[in-house]
Amino acid sequence: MIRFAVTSRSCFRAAAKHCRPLRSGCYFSSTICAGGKAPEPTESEDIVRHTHSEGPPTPEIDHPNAPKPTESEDAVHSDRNAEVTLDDLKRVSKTTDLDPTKLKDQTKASYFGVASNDSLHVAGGSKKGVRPLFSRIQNDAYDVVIVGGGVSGLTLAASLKASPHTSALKVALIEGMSLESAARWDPSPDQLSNRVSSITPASKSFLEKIGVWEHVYPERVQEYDNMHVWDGVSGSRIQFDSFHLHPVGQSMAYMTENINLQHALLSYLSESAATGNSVTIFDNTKVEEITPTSVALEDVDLSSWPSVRMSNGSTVYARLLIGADGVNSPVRSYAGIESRGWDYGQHGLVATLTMEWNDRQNVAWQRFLPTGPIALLPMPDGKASLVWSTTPKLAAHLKSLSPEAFCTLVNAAFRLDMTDLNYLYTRFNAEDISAEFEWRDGLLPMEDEGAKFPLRVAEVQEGSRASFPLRMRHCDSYVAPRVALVGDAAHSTHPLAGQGLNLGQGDVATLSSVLEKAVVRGADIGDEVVLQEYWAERYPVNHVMLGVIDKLQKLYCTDAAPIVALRSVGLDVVNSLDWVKTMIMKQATGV
Amino acid sequence: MRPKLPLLTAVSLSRRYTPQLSPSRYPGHVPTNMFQKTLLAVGSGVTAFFNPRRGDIIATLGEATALPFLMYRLRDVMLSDATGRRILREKPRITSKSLNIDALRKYPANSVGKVYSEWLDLEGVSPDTRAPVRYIDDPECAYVMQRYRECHDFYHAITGLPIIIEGEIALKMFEFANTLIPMTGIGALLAPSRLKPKQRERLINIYFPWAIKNGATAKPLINIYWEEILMKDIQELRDELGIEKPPNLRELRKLKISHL
Repeated sequence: MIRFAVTSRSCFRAAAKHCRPLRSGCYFSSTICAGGKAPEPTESEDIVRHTHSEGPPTPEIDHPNAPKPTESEDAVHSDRNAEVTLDDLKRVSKTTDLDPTKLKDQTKASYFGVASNDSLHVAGGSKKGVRPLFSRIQNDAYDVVIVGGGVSGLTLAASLKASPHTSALKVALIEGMSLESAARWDPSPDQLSNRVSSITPASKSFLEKIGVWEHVYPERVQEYDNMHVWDGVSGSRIQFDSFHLHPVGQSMAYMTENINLQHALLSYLSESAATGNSVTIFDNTKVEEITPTSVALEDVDLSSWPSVRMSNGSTVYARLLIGADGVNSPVRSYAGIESRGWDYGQHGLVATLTMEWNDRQNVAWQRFLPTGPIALLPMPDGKASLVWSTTPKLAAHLKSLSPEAFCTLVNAAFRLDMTDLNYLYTRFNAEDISAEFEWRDGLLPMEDEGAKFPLRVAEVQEGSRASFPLRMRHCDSYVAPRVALVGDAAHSTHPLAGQGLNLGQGDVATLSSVLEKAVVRGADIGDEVVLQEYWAERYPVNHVMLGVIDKLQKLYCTDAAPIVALRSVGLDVVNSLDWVKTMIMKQATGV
Repeated sequence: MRPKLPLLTAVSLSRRYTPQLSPSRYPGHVPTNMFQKTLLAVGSGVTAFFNPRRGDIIATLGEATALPFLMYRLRDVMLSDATGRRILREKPRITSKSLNIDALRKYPANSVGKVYSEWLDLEGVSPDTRAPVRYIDDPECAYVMQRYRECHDFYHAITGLPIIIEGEIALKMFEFANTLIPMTGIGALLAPSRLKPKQRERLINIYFPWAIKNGATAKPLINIYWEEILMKDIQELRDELGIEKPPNLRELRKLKISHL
């Protein structure tokens, strides 16, 4: 278990009482629990929990960017405790009915005043041997509880901590999987994750703004400024160049592994914890149940707050619950928000490939086959990431093929006619496939290599072939009282435009600025009226993007001659109008 | 002072209106543009109509009217089939030498080779009478046309239709239903206008229905590697392809039957 706990020194006071961020106090810690549960306090640990005077042994953290708890946590905490002022205690006493002077004597032991059982006035707790409920709620209540430690969830946590207005909010993040591997990620040059995303310039500048981008390993980011998209049936094509971009000459997108982003976000959160703005992270912890809160906290009305029971047995209460928990979002189910859409009947097959030559690495390729688009996106060091949307049956076949045969089919899918490709799909023998491919490929003009279709793929990284179903989903609303959805929980789309992650980043950027505004104005951040602004801003933007992608998918998933003819003429016209291309790129890059 | 040229001369002299022909793409290829192909099609069409025995003219008509998308379609029919792909890859040619007609004559009765050689002897033709393809621009499509042309005699053999004009027209209709090569359709539709009403009636009542039904439902004949199945029993092959033998045309002619 790695734990670094640094207390917050910022004392945030908002104008209105109800919107005052929860006292972050001593338990404002970022806890990365690897392979274990979040700290579960026992009755005698109540105090311990505040002071961390005891705790599991802290192992070495060999992560370069993580703040190392070199001094023992005790040191940190005793230091903190020494700084407890009378002012603090007075404030505490207000809520606990404790005599500040009496508390002063017990400073070492407690901050919130849970020093001795008899001095407490506890709602619903038995006097002896039971952890006082009041303090438990105080500890377990958060301003923002984010469910989901994916890129969207972590980005929201980071951007809340990045703003001076929202950094004092008490934030918890719950993730079902372990985040340790992402936190400790050390990129090894020959292994590339198959989960990659294209980051648009808009998303990148947002990550730069909140200070996360500097934590991204730059050697694992590949930018491209050239894109070829063509029709597999008619061959009509559109080419985007850096001069179609706005401003001219910038990159079109940045390809990177999702884990690189997650790592950067976690590094940023550790760094932010070191300066006193921490996020409590419960990883390896599943959300068991989300229910309305039935217990009461004295000066805060908790009745409308969602309470999240976790698999580690503890419960957290959220002023604002964020669903960043993917397509089958439990938070969305709790909020009763309907998600509508349809399945594409396609699977997205991903794989990490090595190209034959480390050349033309600034180009992204996408060919629309009637079974779905196939895209080859450049990655650093002559690698590439494949996203092949195809029928579930073909995806299963492609996964079962030998690596050599698979690479040949990928090459064939970018080069050969549909007839040849359909024939190759029916072959199983690698040599047979290779011989057929070489014959047909030999008939293609040599000068087209690298100009009209990508160079050859040489290898597929072992175990990197995976597939997942593709669907279109859009929620009726992104917000409910004390609930907001971001990223895939709110919408999911076909990967053909590489927009999935970027739409989520757009959500996060908007939501955090809405929350910032609410805090500045002294409004309750969980209030639906506050959250409506987020939904109102993001829904139309996402809806248009989802709609365009959906129509493109439908337009290209047919080989009916009249439709092919029409779409080819359309594409040729667009390809000859540079200003239209600039307009498209402006939308796609978000700048 | 620049000499004043009449407008039309100036236009015709400008580079823009000089036909730009692509270079030859295979041995014997004569590159032509759209205008030239149209001219060829009309010229050969008119000649073939009045002189249907000119095989070379019919061949030219076939090439000039071979719409690229229909030729690509036929090529794709071959590319979708393992044997068809092998034929396209190996590009075999059928000549009296490559087939060794003398050896075929000694094949067992009812084998494809024997029936073919018998048919050649009966009609007095040779596989060497086929003209090479010149006007189809895509090398692969040119080969497909060449292959069709060279296999044409096998189609006669397997259907038993004679090379007299009625038989040719019936076979052309069969080929059109099977290959969609435009020339075969043009021939099958226009040539009957030169026939006697009795003959035309026979075609329309007996042979066209047979040709359309069998041509459309049979497996693509272009995918047969004839050279490899010469020993095969011809009835077995017909069953495999889904072709039923039409009534004997020569006998129907003798009996002057135009209805069945």
